Amino acid sequence: MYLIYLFLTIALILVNLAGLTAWVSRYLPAQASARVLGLFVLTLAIFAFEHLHGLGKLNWIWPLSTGLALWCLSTRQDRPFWTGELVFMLGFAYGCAWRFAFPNIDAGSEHLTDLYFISNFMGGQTLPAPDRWLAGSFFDCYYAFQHYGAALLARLFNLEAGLAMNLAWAVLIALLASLAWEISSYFVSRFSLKMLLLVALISGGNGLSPLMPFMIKDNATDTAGIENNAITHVWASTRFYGMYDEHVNTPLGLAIAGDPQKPDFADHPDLPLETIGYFSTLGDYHPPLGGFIIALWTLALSAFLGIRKVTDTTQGSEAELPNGRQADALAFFALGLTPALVLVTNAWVFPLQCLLLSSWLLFRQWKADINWPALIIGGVAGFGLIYPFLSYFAPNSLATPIRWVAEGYHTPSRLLLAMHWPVLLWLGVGLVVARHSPWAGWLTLTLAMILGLSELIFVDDPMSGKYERFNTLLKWWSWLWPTALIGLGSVCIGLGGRVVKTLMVLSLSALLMYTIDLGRYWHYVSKPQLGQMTGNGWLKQDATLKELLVYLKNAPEGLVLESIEQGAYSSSTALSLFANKPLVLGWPDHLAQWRGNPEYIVNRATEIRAFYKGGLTDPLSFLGKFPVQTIIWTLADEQRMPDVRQKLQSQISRDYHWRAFYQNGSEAVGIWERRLLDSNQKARG
Amino acid sequence: MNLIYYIYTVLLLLVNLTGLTLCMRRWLPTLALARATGLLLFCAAAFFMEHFIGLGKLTWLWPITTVAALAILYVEHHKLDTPKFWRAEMVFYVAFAYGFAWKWAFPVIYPTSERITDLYFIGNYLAGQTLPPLDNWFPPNRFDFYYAFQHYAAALMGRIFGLGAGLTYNLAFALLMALPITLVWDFTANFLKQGWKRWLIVITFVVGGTGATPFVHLSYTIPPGLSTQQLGNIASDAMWASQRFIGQFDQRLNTEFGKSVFPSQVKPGWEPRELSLEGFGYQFYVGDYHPPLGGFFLLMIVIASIGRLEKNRYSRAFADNGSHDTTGKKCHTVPIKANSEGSDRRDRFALQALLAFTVPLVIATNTWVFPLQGTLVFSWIVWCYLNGNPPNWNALLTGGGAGFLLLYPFLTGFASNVLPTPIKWVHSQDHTPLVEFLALHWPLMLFGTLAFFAKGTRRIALLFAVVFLGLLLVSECIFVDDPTGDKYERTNTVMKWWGWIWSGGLVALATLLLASSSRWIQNLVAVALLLINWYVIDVARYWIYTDKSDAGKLAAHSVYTHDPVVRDLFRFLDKVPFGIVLENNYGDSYTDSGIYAAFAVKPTLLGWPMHLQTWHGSVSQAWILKDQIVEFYKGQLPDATKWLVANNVEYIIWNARDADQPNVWEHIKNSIDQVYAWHEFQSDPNRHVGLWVRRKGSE
Repeated sequence: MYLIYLFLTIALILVNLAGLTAWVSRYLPAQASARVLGLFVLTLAIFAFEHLHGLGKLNWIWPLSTGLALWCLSTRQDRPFWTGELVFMLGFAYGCAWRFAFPNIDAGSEHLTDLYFISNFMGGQTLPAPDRWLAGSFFDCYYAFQHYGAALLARLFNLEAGLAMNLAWAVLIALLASLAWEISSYFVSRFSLKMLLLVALISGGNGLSPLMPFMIKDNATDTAGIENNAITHVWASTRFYGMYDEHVNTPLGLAIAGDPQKPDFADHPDLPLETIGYFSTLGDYHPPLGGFIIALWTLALSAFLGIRKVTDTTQGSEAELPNGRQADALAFFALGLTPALVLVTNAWVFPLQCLLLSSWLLFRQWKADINWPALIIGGVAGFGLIYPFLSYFAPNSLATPIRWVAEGYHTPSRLLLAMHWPVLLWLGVGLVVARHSPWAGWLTLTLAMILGLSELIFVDDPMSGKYERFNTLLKWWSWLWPTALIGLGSVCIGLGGRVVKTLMVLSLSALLMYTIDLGRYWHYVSKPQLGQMTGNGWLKQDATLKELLVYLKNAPEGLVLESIEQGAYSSSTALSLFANKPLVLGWPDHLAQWRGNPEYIVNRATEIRAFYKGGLTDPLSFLGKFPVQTIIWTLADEQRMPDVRQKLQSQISRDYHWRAFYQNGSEAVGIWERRLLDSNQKARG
Repeated sequence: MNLIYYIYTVLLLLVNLTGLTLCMRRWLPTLALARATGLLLFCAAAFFMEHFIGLGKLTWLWPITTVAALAILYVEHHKLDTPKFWRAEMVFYVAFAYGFAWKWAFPVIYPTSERITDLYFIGNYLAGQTLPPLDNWFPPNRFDFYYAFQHYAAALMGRIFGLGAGLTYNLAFALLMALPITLVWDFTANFLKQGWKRWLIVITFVVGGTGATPFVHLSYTIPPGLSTQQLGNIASDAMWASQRFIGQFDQRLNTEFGKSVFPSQVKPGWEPRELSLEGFGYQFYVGDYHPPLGGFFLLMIVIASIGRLEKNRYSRAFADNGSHDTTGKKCHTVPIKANSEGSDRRDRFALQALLAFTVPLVIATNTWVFPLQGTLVFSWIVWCYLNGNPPNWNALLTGGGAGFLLLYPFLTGFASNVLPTPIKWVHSQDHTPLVEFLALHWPLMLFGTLAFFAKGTRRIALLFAVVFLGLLLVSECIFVDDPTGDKYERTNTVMKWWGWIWSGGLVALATLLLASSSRWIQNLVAVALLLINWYVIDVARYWIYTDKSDAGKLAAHSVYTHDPVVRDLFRFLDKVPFGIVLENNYGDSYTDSGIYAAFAVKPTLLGWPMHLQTWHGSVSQAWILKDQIVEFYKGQLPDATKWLVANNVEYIIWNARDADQPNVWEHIKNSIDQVYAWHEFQSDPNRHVGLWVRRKGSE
């Protein structure tokens, strides 16, 4: 039954997106770009409006929007349009397959963080919305536009936040795939080469991937060992230096990573380069993906805007389109939107996006005209629409000064070469192709500059030591990778000579070694919650927690208190987030980091820990501060502190009623509910 | 006075339905299909809409719909003069009257089979909240785990006409049972001209038993010298003997014939599997407004639509033969009435869209038969291709798409809350014993075999034979693994599937075989149908011997309200504002717990916990709550007031059964008096029956 529902939900989403694309692409005849433009403008406009007034429930819209979409689609009978939609749908199917197989939103990586971001927007309140991880505060310290988009999807189709997150993830992958296909189609005509580019982008690794079999040799034969190896392979390429480098056991591995026996080996800085394939296994709905989309969108729009005409003079394939001026204006408008969009989507790559866009404008100014009015309108509109967000985000964001990379923190040249050899190769090849294609020249120079900058400067966030450059490189290198792969890959394969083409094909094919790793991951890693796309299958496998979740979901609104033993990356808060309820406190380490380590978060965490240990002298006073509506007492709490429940019961029973969901002798699991509700709420339940 | 009210209510309902039928007749070829489609669309559209916003009370609607219906009757009055119209309407009225008569004679809703459950389902929807509504048996949870579209439809009727819960139940039952009968009549009319043949099929469908019926009569004789009460019990047993034959009635046969043909199956460590076939006619006796009813309705829509779609081709085939079959005898076929090409195309589009529309609707109506309904429609599509006459995919996609879209908001909650019911292979010890299988299903197997020889109707008869016999075979290979086990392992599956297969197969195949030009086939089928109709005697005996003292009390609670104190309590509770009612818990299920709340359309603190467990899998909270309720009613629950307030209880029922416990009332009253005010409902100062109502402004 759930599969039918899932199928219908996906069908509805795809029909609505296709309808939107059909409408926008009438005016911007570059389908993938038009789809992204439609989505961004729509989401941004609602995002801006909800800063003035929250729109609450929006599920009444889908019947109307679906009708409109069907009408728009009924007018599009042309084959290219449906081919474009097919590419998008196949991308969606690929993304969906990953989430279908590994749907869990749990304590791993940033799953619950992303769910929390989305959850903040689920209520449809005026923005900034109340912070669901920090009672009494507002969610004003994070660039979560992408999560707002997922929440909007949930609100439009009345989805649970977890399902929306997994489906929105698949939408992001589909957008990336369709943009990559569009960019490559401007330069490459052979299907197989376009597929190579697409597969290398979506499931390829980085420069280390083809080297990895020669750096780390497996020797496991048992099932657990094979599964573990499958996971290691996927992680090793992207999180090699500073994390998986200690696994090396071959001469090549030792040459690149250094000798693990050396005393300073453990101090290796963590220098990651995360690819889309890696994100597929991770399942985080995290800002980098949105950043990639904006980067590829910029490339697609710039290619659309006639660079091909300038570069591809021998083929001269671009014909003047009808309504060309209008389409150009719209493309410039879209490009104007990108700085604002990247700021709210993935602020880390704002400088890179600005560099990419400004260098292209310089280049464009040199080669052709710029529609300044459209560009400026786009820029002004973009910043105008995010202005309400900036008005609270900017003062609350952490100071992140840009500093020079200090001596000793630079990437070792052997690692730089091992990890970035494809980019270095493409940059070199790009310079060769630049003789025929100024677009290739522009992109080569810009990306070379960005790579160089990443070695010279970094954003100085609160992390230090081993993680001094971690966040900067995590965001910048990961952004650089798909941009270079698709941008330079397409133009070099399309316009390069035989040698260039051969080099490109070989380098891209080498990256597919990671695709094999992904295949092994898919095959060997167990999928116990296959198909449970809401992401809470891991939680619902416990009958008591399942019952508790259903009850909490249907319970009246109110703050929930959950124990927080760990600072982060624990399953704490999952129950409340899946039940769509706000918490007194989420993961304290994350919250503290985002908000500049304020003491009150630490104090609150300490008080909660003391409460769950029965160490508060006046727990009612503590609970009354927020006030807490529901206190969750899980089996873990019970087993951690067997006698505390009775003590708490005697302390708080005046205001809180114990509702048991499991009782086995003296062991019990349940919740305390605050008695004082208004009578209307009581009657309605 | 009640009688006048009932007459007016039924008249209003019928006028509205006739108006709707005439309105829909513009797009559909027959009145029965128009009526069915109109109702289905209206309810599905309202169901869809109320998932966005609950419309609350709807009593303002009936004057408008009635005026609209009368206006349609006036505008289309020329159609009223035709005998065709009145014939179709009369079939509906007679069918409705038959169901109504059953409910008139046996109207009471009490804890037998699923009547109380169905009343509670309807009650969930009667308040008109935004869907999914509050679960009246398990607040504050939502009622989003059950396929209760037909209960929603009943509640919609109740809300429009301002009916009480019990009356809504009984009227909806009569209406929902009438609709498939009209569709069967409609289907037979496509192929059979002679009235007796059509009546024979309709009667077999409505009053007939199963293949086991003749064996029941041959294997069991009524012992002489029984009292009226015993005769009543035997008459009641005879009503389910044909349906619950395998594993139940076949274990108590008392003639030599019965014992020799169906020897006892009991073996050490193994109980005979209960495998029942609950067809359409049996539902009148059961009296439950349960999902199989809606399933039969949707099944008959498909059969009637297919019949209508194939009618012209069939008629044409006979017309080509000069109205004579190969034996030279005169054919008894419906004369061809040439439709204009445009209206024919429109009809075909509407019928195919309707076929597809029913498939998603089955999910919300009777999920159990969703695969069966899908198979039937899919098989028809394949059959169309085999005939070189592809279906209209635009129509199928429009109907199916519209159905799924209208159902989508329902599926949002339902899909994630319904218990997973994996399909498994039937274990060797759970298969139906061969002799019993043949005894129960011989008519369908006979009809399926005869389909090969049915001249004139062979192709379409084979379609139905392959579908229904194929599904019968499948039902022996796989089953839906629900929480029940042992002798009940397959019970739920076959109960749902066999009833559907039997009813559909009987109507479709018997009609097409009687329409064939082979006289011997007609005779054989007629004899088989007569044997099945042996059950008519059982029905008659049931009517004669069963107590009908509650006849005409359509509010359905007379078994309780014949006691004036209970009557007053019912009336009181009916009028008070919405709030949770607490009633004592007398057991895990099928008890009187919750009946006050159910008839008053209010939530009860806890419904039947065993049912909740069946629906939700694990409900530890409910079991803990049940224990607390029992303790409360024994006066042993500590902090009773706090517990009541925390559970948002507004009303506490203290009935005669609770009052039998000495001194408990006083103890409870003293402990909760500050917050709950006692209302006495009888005059004996030494005994207390009544209810506590939460004092206003109390915490």
